[in-house]
Amino acid sequence: MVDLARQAFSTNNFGLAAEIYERTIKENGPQADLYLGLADSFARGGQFTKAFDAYTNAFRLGRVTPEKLKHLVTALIESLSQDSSSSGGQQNSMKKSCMFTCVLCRGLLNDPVTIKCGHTFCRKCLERDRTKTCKVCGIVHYRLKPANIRTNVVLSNLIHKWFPDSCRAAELKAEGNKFFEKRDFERAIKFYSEAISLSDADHLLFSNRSHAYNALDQYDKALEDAEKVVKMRPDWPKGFFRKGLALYGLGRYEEAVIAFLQCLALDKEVTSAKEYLSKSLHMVLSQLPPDDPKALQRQREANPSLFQALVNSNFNISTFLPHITANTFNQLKQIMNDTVEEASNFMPPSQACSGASPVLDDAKDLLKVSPYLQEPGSMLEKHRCNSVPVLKETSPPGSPESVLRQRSRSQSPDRKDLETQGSRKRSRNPSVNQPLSPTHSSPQKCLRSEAEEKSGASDKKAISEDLLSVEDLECSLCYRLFYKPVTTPCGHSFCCECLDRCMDHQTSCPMCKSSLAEYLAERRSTMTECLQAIIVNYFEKEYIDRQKIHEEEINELAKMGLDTQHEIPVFVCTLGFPSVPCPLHIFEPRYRLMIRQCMESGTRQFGMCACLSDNEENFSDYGCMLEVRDVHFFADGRSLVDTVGGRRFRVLGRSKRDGYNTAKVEFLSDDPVDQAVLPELQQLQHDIYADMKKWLDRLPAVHKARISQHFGTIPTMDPNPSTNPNGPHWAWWCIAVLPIDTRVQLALLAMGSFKERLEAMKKVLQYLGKRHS
Amino acid sequence: MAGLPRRIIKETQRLQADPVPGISAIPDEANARHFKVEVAGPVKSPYEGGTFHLELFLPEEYPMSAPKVRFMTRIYHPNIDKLGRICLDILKDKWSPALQIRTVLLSIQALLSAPNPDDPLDTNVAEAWKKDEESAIEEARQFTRQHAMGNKPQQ
Ligand SMILES: [Zn+2]
Ligand SMILES: [Zn+2]
Ligand SMILES: [Zn+2]
Ligand SMILES: [Zn+2]
Repeated sequence: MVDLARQAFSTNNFGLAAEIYERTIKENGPQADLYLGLADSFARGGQFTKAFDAYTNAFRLGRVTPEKLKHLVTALIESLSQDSSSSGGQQNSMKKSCMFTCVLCRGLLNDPVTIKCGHTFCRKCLERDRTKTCKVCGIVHYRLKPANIRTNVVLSNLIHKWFPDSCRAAELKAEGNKFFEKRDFERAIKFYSEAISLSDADHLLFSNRSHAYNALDQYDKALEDAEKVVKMRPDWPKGFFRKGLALYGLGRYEEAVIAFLQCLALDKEVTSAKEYLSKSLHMVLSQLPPDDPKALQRQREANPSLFQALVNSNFNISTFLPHITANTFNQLKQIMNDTVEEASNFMPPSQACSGASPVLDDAKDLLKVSPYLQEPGSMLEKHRCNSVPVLKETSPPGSPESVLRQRSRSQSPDRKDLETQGSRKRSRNPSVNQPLSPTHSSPQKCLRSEAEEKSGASDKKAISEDLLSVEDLECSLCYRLFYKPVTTPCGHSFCCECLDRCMDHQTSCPMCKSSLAEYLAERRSTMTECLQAIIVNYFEKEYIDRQKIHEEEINELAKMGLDTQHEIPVFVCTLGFPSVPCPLHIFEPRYRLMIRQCMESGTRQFGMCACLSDNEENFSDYGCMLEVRDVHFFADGRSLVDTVGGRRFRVLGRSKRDGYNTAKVEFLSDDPVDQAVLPELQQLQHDIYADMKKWLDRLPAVHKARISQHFGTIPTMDPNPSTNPNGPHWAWWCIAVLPIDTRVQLALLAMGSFKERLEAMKKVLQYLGKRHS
Repeated sequence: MAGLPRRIIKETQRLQADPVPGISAIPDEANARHFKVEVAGPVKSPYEGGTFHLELFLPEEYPMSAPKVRFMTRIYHPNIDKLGRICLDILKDKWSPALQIRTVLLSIQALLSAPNPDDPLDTNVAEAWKKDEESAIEEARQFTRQHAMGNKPQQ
């Protein structure tokens, strides 16, 4: 029977498993193992009230180790992640707009390294995170080796300049960490405290100090610091973990359970939190009062936590009113929802330069009291308050109102309050709870994103005017403000466009000569997001100007050939012909640039002229536009460009730009065909087409194959040769294929009449025919 | 030809506002890519006391290709030939677009302080330098006195 139950459990058939366990208990009598199996089945099936009931029986009947609670932990985490999955996207958008904040530790970037996807993290955080997954964009970087990425120089310099105190504090913290590793916790605490005196808004310092106090068994101090961490960064899972550890140390297991669950609600992968959650649950379940309603009553009054109420109600339903029990679990869920909600809506406080504190003195009193010891009624009010959009304009975070809003009236309820709590609970319908989350979250979401757009990045801090220098964000190649900054693995930043241009010439970093071959091979041009965000947030005017310049440059390029004043780029190589394909291998730096500019400006075309002398600046007087159909890049930056001929042009003036030739041109088209001579023209076309086919037929098979490989087969004849301004395609195909001198081809290209071109072709074919016979 | 790139304008401004000690570089009024450069012979070198005139030109591809620099004043130096051409790696294959006019001028000044006869341009001078450094240095001093003192920039 038990095997059957286990099998049902392992196939996620928890209802069946529970049924079998229940029957077995009825038949074989109560046993700890059976109750545990039953409890696990209920828990995984989401029936927590019944689950706790069964766990308590298991604990009464025998020894249960903390490890045995793993299914309960899994089930609790599962139920949390289901509730919080809806707010995930929002959290992402907040992360994306960070400038100086590391998403992994939520602290000021320390030794920042920028990875392939353009996101930046502290080196230590990146080394510690073994998932190889970018926590901002979710891209997995299989070959990520933080040791091979050098510090982002521009960003690091900027952070040191703008936040000197925080940087000094980070150094002191590192000193403290060294002592921590040597288990000299008291010295570590001294360093952390000194760091806090410099930068008292850095949650990492409090977190580390809390950790050290924990190690010294000074749990009350550890808790005090952990509470500060949670208040500063309610979006940081580790803060709740620290709080949970301190509470665990203090023997406040019920609250510890909640704290660990809060941690897991934000990040369900924190293994140590899972471990401590099961330990805490174990302690809670082990400490159950004997089966004595009066003892339970005393216990409840002595320690009236919400979780206690939850546990109590689950274990002795008869002492509580039945409908409250379900409600209590909903409240636990509500706490988790609040945690996630608050984390995703959290905006780090604006600070006046570095070191200014957002924590107000009177907030300390509020902090000492756990917000979850409050009565449920006030929690309801808290939601109403929360539904006021968190706009920076209306109330700056860190102000007394916002502290109050976040931690509404958290007073320890006395016995009298507890009674009213009971009555309120009774009067409240469980269903009232449900619609709360959707209604108060959705309007907030859209308002928030608007506010975010207006105020820019979420971690914007006030920087004093004399520290703001646009030269700190200047590209060392163009001497202008970065435009779409990219960062190389060697830590150097450039405008994307500038670096591309450098890499046309050499595959090493212009600053330090490190090889960029791999960077080039990956064709990486992902913007360094935090640099971009800093530019947009602190140098808005300069950024707009810079953007305008770039757009003007692009617009200028896009106007090529629009009139005789706007030069077209000219590739000096061979001749192209209308509608005839022309594949090109691009390796010269200047033409790499030319192709990029063609693509970026959207023109996707350039002129092709023949090189007629040693001096290529003397390119042919006539040419043909080549339209880009496809570009295939090789790892080393060369490319294969698939083009097809377009309009013909006559060169009016020659010039140069960015190293390649340009020309002022006039576009050519065939003279309109007089309807009177059309039949004559059609006859001529017919004859030449036949001559051409004859010539083709006489070619050796190898030649024929080569021609069709390069140019395809001969196009069909146009019944009406006057419809195309370039004349019929087939004629251009012949001109490209026939073995004639470039100068002859050029003359044919320049002709403005199809008839004239046909007659010239006739002569060529006659000549070739004679030579053949 | 397009207008002067912003980079050249900025570099010129910065050179003017914060000149390299012992070096002046003034753009030509007619062509802003053309600079008249004067380098003072470094102290404790055989060129001390001399003023050397150079010509610096920023080609169309600058900064993708290196500036073109040439000594106009005759100089006895193993890495500079009779025509004033300079053998300096950063002007050739070691050029990087992140280098500037300033770095080029500083490198030339350094080359005067530390001639490198192992990577010669003028083999005769280099041979003399390697065979008898003392007399080569004396020759360089003599050249400096003769060509680089009281001289006016050539037109
Ligand atoms: Zn970090
Ligand atoms: Zn990323
Ligand atoms: Zn740039
Ligand atoms: Zn580099």
